[in-house]
Amino acid sequence: MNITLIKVGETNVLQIEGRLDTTNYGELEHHLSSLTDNDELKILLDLDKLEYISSSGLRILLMFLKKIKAADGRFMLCGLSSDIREIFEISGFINIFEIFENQDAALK
Amino acid sequence: MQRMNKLQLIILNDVGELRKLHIACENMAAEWLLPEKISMNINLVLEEIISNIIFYGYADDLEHEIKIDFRKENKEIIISITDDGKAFDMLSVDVSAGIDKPAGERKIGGLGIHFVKTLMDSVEYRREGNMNILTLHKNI
Repeated sequence: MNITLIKVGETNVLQIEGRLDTTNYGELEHHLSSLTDNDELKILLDLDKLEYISSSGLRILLMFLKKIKAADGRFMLCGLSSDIREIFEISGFINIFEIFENQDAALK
Repeated sequence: MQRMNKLQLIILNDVGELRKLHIACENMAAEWLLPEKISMNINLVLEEIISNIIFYGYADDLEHEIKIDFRKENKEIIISITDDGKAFDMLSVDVSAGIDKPAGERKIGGLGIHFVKTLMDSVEYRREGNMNILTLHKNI
């Protein structure tokens, strides 16, 4: 998995490429913690290049959604492929996250 | 070329071993010409089952083998996971509750078993001697 951070205005855009699973979810947790520890609470995860996500990855997303919402921040997702979207639907996550088609739509 | 209709993977009770699942699922998809989505769903379900076994299945710190047998029969993939961990029937765990709840009320956990039940067409569990045998069926 590769994670790239780009700052667009006030939003921290994290692009995630590859697979997010039980073996590497700690890397994403580390990146997100670095942001929230510095009060960077406007975060967009671009999942356009995400090939696979397991429940370990979803758990990290839910954990930070709760944390950021509780601190009045914003945690958004975009770029879900149809296969990844289906995993979000089955888990019920589709209704609890702010999900956009792509970065442009999210950053409007 | 004659295609094999059986594949086997043995992994040890170590989280790093989960990487082998991805490779095995890719090999299976290539061998049996499966759509990417089916291979991804099987990979996802196996990751949930095997990580559960690794994290919660053993009362000791010894090395254990987990055996995964893949079989293709007509329009079905059948996968058996055999381990010598504590008796555990994941089918008896009710995890569906909570899926419709808002973020604040969602529990962090329980999703893996929900995936297994939802993404497979049927799942059977049996205990034979000191072995757990979980059998998954996925229509293709």
